[in-house]
Amino acid sequence: MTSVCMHETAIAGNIIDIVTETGRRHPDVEIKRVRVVIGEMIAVVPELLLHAYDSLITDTPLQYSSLDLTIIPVTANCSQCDASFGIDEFEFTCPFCQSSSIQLTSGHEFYVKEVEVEPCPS
Amino acid sequence: MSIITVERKVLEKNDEIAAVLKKQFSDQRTVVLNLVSSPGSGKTTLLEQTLQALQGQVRMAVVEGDVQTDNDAKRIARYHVPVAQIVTHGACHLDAQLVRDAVSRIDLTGVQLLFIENVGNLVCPASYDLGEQHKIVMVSTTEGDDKPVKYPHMFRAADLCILNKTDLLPYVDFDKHQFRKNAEKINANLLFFEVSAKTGEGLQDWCQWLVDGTQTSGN
Repeated sequence: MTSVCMHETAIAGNIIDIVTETGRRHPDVEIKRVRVVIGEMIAVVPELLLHAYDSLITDTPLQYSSLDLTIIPVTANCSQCDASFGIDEFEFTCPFCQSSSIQLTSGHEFYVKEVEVEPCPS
Repeated sequence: MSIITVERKVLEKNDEIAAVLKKQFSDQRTVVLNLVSSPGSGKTTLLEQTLQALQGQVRMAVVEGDVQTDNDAKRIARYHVPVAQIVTHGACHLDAQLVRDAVSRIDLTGVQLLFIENVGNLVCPASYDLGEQHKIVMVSTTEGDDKPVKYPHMFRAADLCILNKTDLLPYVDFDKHQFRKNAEKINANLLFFEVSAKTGEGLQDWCQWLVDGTQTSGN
């Protein structure tokens, strides 16, 4: 079973639940694309999530949809010198004053933003 | 093609249940610790030693998470504390619903400390809030001292780090200073404990931290 040791399967299931609920409220349209925003601080491998999504939608009302991931890089603000910067390679230190007293300003996002739909083929 | 706005958190279901658990634990004044590590780091052995050391002093309970078997719950039950086993049947992490089901099976009345031993895995459990007060990441000296940089999400999510099997330091290539440097690079606020769950070395500081935690929570 490919789901062993792959929480991306569980997460794809959560996305499908949310989108299915949206679909139920709009029975006259077909969902074509699901846009998910995901911060780099979320421990999810995008390729595995896409793969899990595709496996789970087989023979469901979502079978003609695809998942579209927008990756948000990790950024931070230094509490010491007030600089704003991106975090590369998980180095959680201010590149300007070397302080480790920093606040993350992005990277923890993880939400279904929107779906692209088309009128149901009649 | 038209757009329907959704704007819903992917983990909203888990986070809602975790919030309910958090409130329940806080109302009961139970400190909850979510223990994560690779398989074989010694989580269960540390729990056994801790239960023994704090017996009669702190009222404790344990939720055991494993992919298969209730072997760990059987080990814990010998210490006469309430214990509930979660068998995930292949899933690589615990989620808040599994914990809610497990704690409904044990009597938490008067329990000051609840340990949740997560499934051995340093990736997946990082994403799931179980309603705990602290995530504790454990590494043993038979692993690599680069564990923090290999699994940065977990070291960032944790606020406490336990290095176990320190009795083996003379025999392995583990550089504990490098390990600490690696971990602090990911999370400068990590609190460290060095223990040997086998020999008991360092357990006193760890247990004292636990006792202090239950006292600040009002018990």
